[in-house]
Order: sequence, then structure tokens, then C-alpha cells
Amino acid sequence: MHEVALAEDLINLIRSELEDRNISPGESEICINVEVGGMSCVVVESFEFAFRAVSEGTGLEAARLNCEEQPLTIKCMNCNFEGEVEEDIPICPRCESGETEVTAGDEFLLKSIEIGE
Amino acid sequence: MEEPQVVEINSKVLKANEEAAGENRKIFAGANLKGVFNLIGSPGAGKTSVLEQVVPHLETIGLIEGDIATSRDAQRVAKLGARTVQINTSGACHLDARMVSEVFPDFSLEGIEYLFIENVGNLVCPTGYDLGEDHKIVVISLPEGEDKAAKYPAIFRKSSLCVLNKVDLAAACEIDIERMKGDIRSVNPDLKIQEVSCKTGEGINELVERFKKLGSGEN
Repeated sequence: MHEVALAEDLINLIRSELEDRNISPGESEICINVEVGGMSCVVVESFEFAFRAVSEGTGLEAARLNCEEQPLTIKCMNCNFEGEVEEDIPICPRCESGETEVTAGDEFLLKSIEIGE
Repeated sequence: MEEPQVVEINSKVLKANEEAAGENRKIFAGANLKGVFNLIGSPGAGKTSVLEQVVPHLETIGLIEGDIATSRDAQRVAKLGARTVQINTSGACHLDARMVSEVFPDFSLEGIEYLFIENVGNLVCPTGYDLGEDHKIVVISLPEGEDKAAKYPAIFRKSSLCVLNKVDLAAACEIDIERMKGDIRSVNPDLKIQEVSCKTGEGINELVERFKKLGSGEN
């Protein structure tokens, strides 16, 4: 359950981005877009729950949180397969090699913030 | 109504942790250490037992010990001559770089050759948190089951060495060690695997050599 710590990190990151732009979080409609990689060790439902709890009193209580799940994507060094894998295990689905490079899906990212009136 | 303003960020949520890890790395680099190892494994895998076995064979070990509560593990390893400091996370399931940074400067690294950071017992949460270490070391034990690598691939991908502990229990646990190693290698073919038993001492000398090799930049 490190989702609580991650929710705190995300809120701090957003507040500092908004502060840089002289935007007060409570005064605008905000939508937060995050990308959750399949191998990022983050559980979306737990994170959404944690975010709601942690956002209390931060001005981001009413913010919309949009979690986009990014499936684990690899490039196989053995057979050159490129694409998504099943169950987020970095093994090539074509030749079963583990000699793979992760090309997407191992990060937890703040992609963008949408700020309305 | 106006269109919302879209601010592109594209930043890791763990950015603040990574910055703190970078600061830790500077402290480590300035301290003449041969290696900094972040030990990650489930509760009961034997992280502390492995340290107890290794400490007498390596010159001057420092240990930053992470636990939710108590300083029992730090005390166990301190008895054997390591310089230790305990971090209690008060509920948090992992160490982060800032918690580690807070032990300095009170915890002196002078004269220490190998610094171990024993993470909170957990195979998931500590994986994403860089502490500034040179290498992550995953510690697993046979009674946990054969399929850990497939179930928790991230930590096996990010580690430089896998310590496979409690090999003396293979028969009792009905575990085929070769198959277990095959599963680990299928997730990360480059991962070095060292079988050990902290009970019988099997594999401990080899493990010590592996830490020395990692410290000297060999793998």
C-alpha cells in the first residue's frame, strides 16, 4: 500500500506546478491525467482511493483524477517482437525470451493537468 | 465556456524521491564506499539473517535498517560488528530516499566499505523507490513458493543479484530449485542467482564474493 505515499507525492507535484503558474487549486476546475504502467507496482483502485483520502484539505478535493492504464510493452532482443505482453510480465509472447527491453508501462507518470474556469 | 487549459507535465510522480536519491548518491560517492546495496524481500525471507552471515566476512559494514517498528534487526547485525542505524517508518511499507537521507550526517560513513540498506519486508512497494544505491538485491526464500519471479517481475528486473535463501528446505517444501531458477531467469536472463542457507552456511562464501565483485564493478 505505497499508494498513499504516491498520492501525497502526486499532490505535492501538482501543487508546485500550479503555484508556478499562479493558480490556486481551489479556484479552478482541475482534471489530473496520470499514466499507470502495468509494471509500475501501482494498483489503480488503491491509488484512486488513496488520492481521495489524501487530497482532503489540499484544495484538490474536487479535482477529477483520470488514471490511464498503460500496458507493459516490450521489444524482444531475441526475435525483434515489439508490442504489448500479457499479464504485464516482460517475457516475449512470441519466442518466450526474457531478453527484452521495456519500451512502455514501467512508470507512473503525471501526464498533464487540465485547468478550467 | 472556455476550453480548459492543458498543461503538459510528463513527470514521474516519484520525481521528488529521485532527486533525493541523487543527493544520497552524492553522499555515497564522497564516502569512499565500495558498494551500496538495497536489500529487498518479503517479511521472513531472511534479509537480516543473510546480513548476519555476511558481516563477519566483509570489512567494515554499515547498515541502514528499515522496519515499520522496533530496532531488533539493527541490534542483531550490530552485535556482529557492523555500524548500524535504524529507521522506523511508522507504518510505511517501504523506505524512500528522504528517509535514508535523514540518517546523515549523524550516521558516519567514514571507514565503511560496504553499505547495506535493508528495506522494509515487502516485494512490491520498495521496488519503485530509488534510495541512491548501486544495486538492488532481491532476497527470496524457498518456503515462499516457486513462482515469485512471475508474480513480482518488477523487482527481479531491477535487481543485480537474487539471493535464494533457505535452500536446505528444498525437500521439505517440495521445491525444484532448478525450475525456480529457470522462472527467475525467464524474467531476467542477466540476473545472478546465489543459493544460500543461513542455517547450514551453504553458499555464504560465494555470496560474499558476489558482493565484492558487485562492489568492484564486475557482475
